[in-house]
Amino acid sequence: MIQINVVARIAGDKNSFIDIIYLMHRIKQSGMNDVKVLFIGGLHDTVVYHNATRLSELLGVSDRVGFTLKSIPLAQLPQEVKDGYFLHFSVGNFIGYSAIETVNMGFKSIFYNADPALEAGMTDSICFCRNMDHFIELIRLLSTDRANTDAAIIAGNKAAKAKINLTEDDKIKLLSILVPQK
Amino acid sequence: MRKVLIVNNCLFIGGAEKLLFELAVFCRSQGLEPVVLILDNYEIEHYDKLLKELKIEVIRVRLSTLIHFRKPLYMIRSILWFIRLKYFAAKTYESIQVIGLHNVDKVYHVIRHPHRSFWNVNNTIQFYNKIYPYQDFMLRNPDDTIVCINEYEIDELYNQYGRDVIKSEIKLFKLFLNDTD
Repeated sequence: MIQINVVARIAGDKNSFIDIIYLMHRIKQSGMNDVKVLFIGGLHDTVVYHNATRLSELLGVSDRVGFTLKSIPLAQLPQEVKDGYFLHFSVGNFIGYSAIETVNMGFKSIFYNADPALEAGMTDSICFCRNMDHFIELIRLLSTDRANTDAAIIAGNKAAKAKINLTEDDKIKLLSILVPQK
Repeated sequence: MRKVLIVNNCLFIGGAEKLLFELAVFCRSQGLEPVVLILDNYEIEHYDKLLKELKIEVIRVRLSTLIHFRKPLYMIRSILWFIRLKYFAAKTYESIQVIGLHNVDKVYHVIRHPHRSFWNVNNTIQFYNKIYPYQDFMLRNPDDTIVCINEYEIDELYNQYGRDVIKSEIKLFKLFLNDTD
């Protein structure tokens, strides 16, 4: 089983549900039946939730899509969820704090580019998926060669983690923003 | 102790709120005193507890509508803060850090300070038709700084508003964690 986790509250400013449910449909069409997705986050907008569940029914993937319907700190997630793959939207090579946090906690993390205009300039790393086809190919690799693909994802995550820390130059630059001298 | 005012509209679990928290922790590590100002929202949220544990002051006030007769104490407090921010912010704080350009129009004319930084925490892909919904007045003051958290945002701002409109200084600063595992 390939367990995919998406950390996102169910709210009107989140548009990831439709895309990911459609991804699950594409994965099913590709003949891969051992993939599930769990949306981890509180229920803030019932319309968004009902639209997401209705779409998963229409596409025939309801059995592969789950919702926690409450926010759960990452550290308190069940081990089988922690052992899964945390999927985050990226903007080109840029990843946000939810991705930074799962990378920092050592969870296997995958980044899916949300902006097609930025595909061409993206990092050549297995954990950065340029588009839907790239993501489905990654799932296929996980289905056929889990150990090597995991190792490549973990290596890519380590490279991402190395950029999170503040260097001395970063600290000087941040201080110049917080306490400007001009 | 030198104070830095950090402004946002909530403290629930979210990326912008995590940035606020990390900025506050960084301030502390550098001997600065962060003060968090939450606009138009009196809920107790996720980061309230964490900031309280660090003894970082969180102030919740309404600045958009000061008149609030059903809660007179809140109203008086908001009026006092309005005056304080409008006329004395420059004497009290080293800088003003506003998280999210969506919050800037709420404070742009209220908080007067020669060192204001407006953190842009969104890319255009998050908006309808990939267009920022912000008014351009907030980009025109050369004394202000727009802090972008990725290089794409810089291109997106210049492409949408143009270099003749954007007079504020634009800086790039990455998202970060103070303590990594």
